[in-house]
Amino acid sequence: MDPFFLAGALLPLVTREGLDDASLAAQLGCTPADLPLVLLCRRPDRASATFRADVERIATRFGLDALVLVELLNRASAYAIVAAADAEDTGLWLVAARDREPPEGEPAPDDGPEDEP
Amino acid sequence: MHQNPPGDHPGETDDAGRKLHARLLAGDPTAPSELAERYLDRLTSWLCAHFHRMDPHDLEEIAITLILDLAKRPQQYDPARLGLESYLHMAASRDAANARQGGARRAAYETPLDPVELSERARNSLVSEDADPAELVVQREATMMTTMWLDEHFPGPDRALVQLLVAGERHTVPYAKILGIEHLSELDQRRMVNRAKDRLKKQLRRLAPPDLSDG
Repeated sequence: MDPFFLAGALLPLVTREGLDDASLAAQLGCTPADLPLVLLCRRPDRASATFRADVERIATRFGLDALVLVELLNRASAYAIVAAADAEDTGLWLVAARDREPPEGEPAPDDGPEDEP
Repeated sequence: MHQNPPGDHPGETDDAGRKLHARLLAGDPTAPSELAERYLDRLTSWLCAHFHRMDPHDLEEIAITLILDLAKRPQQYDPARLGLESYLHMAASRDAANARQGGARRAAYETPLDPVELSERARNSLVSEDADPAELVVQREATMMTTMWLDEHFPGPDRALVQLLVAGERHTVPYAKILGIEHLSELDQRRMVNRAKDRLKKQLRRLAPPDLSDG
């Protein structure tokens, strides 16, 4: 999902909490018909000085509660961080598993079966 | 229900498009959404009307991709040169024509029985590699408009026959292949091809701008 749009920013929330369109619209406080347009807004940049104004602009345009929108964005960011950490852990485990020395007398996992004569 | 975006929908002025573009450039977070709301359906309908032989889902995809791309990179459009809607039409036509050519190229790979002279890549290009970039753009736009025009006026196999005519093809075989009359005698093939060519030439003279009817 494209991180440029609000849809991309909220995707971790949708994935983690298993939200469908109706429940996401309900959490945002918009109608399901307006949901695609809300999600097509540009994602407010937390590091930007205009973050608050941008959130308020989106909220005003679609009749949302700005605080709710910020809370959803925060939750989505938290899920994204957890997902990234999980992925990193998985990667570490895979590396650890791959690098494990085989017990004495056993072939290394990468060694294929020897050809039959 | 949300507030309606400012500006009329059909018949919207270029001024409204320019204002929206300025908001995209300024990073207004609601501008991408308004761009899609104002133009997506209209652009899709326009594409479907002008490229009626293409799959409407492909055309919708082209329109969506174009709108999202413009939302992310609004600097690609210069409002001093063209109205926003005209720009979208032009860019969408180019993308649709490219998609169709891609499809045609794939089809050509699947049925590699066409004579070599039918392959665009096998023929000499009229455009030299060191041509003026501005001229290349003009030529590309002209090609695109010609393609659209041909699609509109010559549905079915006539489209391919006209393309051969315009390209100056003089051999009977390529025409006979398109007409599906290769099983006939050479004389009958020639007669039928000439008949089809005459009919299309008449149609071209009646419809075409002068540069197309010369071929």
